Amino acid sequence: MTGSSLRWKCRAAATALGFLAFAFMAGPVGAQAGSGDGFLFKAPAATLTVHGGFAQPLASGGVFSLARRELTLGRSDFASGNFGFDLTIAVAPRYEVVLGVDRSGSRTRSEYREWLDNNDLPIEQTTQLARVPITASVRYFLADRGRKVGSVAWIPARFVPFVSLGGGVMKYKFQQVGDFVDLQTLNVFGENLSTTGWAGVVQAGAGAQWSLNQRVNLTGELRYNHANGDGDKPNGDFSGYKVNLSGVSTLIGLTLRL
Amino acid sequence: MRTLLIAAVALGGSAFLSPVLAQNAPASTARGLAWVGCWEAADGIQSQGRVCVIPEGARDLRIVSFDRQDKATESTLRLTGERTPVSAEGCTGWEQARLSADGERILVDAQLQCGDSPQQTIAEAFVITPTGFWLQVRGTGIAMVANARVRLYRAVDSYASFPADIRAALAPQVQEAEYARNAISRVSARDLAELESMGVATPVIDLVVAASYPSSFVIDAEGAAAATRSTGEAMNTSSLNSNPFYWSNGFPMLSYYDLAMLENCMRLQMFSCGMGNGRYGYSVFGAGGYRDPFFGGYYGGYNGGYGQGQGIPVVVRPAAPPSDYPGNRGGGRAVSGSGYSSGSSGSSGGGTRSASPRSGNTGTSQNSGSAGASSSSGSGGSGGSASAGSSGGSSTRTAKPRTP
Repeated sequence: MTGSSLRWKCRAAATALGFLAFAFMAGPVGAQAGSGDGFLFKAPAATLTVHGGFAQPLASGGVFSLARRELTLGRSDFASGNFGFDLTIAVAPRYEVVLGVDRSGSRTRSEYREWLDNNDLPIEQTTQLARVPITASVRYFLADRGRKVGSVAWIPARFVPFVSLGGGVMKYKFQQVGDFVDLQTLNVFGENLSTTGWAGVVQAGAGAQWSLNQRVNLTGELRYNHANGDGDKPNGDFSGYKVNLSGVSTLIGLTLRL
Repeated sequence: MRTLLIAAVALGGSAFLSPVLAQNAPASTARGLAWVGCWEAADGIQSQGRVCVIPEGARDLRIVSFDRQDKATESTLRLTGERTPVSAEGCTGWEQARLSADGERILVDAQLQCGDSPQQTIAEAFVITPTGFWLQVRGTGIAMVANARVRLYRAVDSYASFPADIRAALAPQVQEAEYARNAISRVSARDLAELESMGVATPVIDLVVAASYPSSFVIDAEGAAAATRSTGEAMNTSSLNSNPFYWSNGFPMLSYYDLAMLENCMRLQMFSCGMGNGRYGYSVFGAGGYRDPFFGGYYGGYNGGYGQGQGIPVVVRPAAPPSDYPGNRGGGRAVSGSGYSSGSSGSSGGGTRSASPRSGNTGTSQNSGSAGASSSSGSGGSGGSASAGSSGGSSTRTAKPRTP
């Protein structure tokens, strides 16, 4: 088993365990004080969401054009699972402020499309992309999240769609480790190339929440992040290249009403 | 992708782990069976007599009420949902009784006009509490139901003192009724939605919720003392609580009730509407003058039977006031070298406690050089000396040395 494969399995197991732990936590909470059978004693002031899903970067332009042109990499090779948390605070009956952090990362082995070494062996390298957007956004529910019955009961709606818009920053890392070809000399050299930094991000999303019980929602969302990493420093590893960090994420998660 | 797949599997599993919105049990008590039997007051209102509920036909309940002299009056509560004209004791109007879909709540609406007085709106709910009591919730108002009061009944222990015909009518059904009471579930979102669709008034819904979740809510008998004085009824006041406005920020229903009451007072200008005197308790007809026709039994029907008392005016508030929350205490702490400290320098007033050493008397402990927990000298010893003399009032709780 390679180190990469082991890391993948560990990450997948951690993600699954995270969901299960959250589900186990959410179940008993639903039966605790502050809620009745299928309703809460007041509208929730906040929610916490644990979500996972699938992230597909646009992977175009800048370093991606270089990598996809020279190496056996396609757009789908930068797709990955993602995992994150959202904390929402209700600010109006249909509005929430969402503070979110998310992580997605791909790690893909490749080789030169056009070149072999002098032993007819492929010239291999590994390309890694990691993105961690930290965002604040406003979520607007297209229907009431629930309704008050009497003064001390709040019944959550079964299904509520929403849209969101916000922004923040994204920490990113683009790294390539392995062997490369100097197209001037055609020498093959080993190197660890990376660029990392922070970029501003604009986030838009749309999704829906499905109420599983009075405390727990199933939340699904499609998000688009628009971000561009600055070109690396003139003497950096990817001098002059931009890093297009934009992409689409599909999220599905469990939301706990607090 | 494997991450995604495993997460999806986990998520799918978690969806099953989380209980889906509870479904109500089948309507096993669709005839109001849970109320069948004989009941006696359990709320301390001594003037209340007893009442027996006997099923009659498919949807009717025969109500036989006994006053304190065991004089019986009878009426029929029709659970058909149809409006029934009411005309008695100078009051006219209608009433409408319905059974909830699961048979676990009886809802009664009525509108009455007595003489020249404005028409009164009445909404009632009969609820079996988780402990098997029968809670009768009554809301009254003019334009809308604006206040609420409750009566509480428990099933009688013995039927020996009831007339033979009633015993004979009930005998085949009492056991089944007990089963039905035990099977009643707490009010659910589905029940609330039904109540809402029926147009049940907010104060009544609140009390139905509070009765179902006694660990989360207190049915606060604010104003009960005033009612006792005014009506001459003896009442158990152990549940009286402090000013409910303390909670007005978190629970606007309190101020809502109050505003509604004030509005009625200003509009009608014919009632004694002292805001400190039964502000939640009395209907706008008030106990002082025009007696509430339902609770007073003016038209002698089923309400007159088991509603002969005035009922306890109530509001609903959460079970724990803010000062009882563990995270919001009075500043008590443990300080290295000083031991436990209440966090306040004053020691007078109700509820203040002072400490004494476990052995010896307070005088000797002072002389032994131990530091007093409330002593200003505070020399840092581990044994606390007493300041018992600082307490005041009969409610002050103090500690004393434990005898060897």
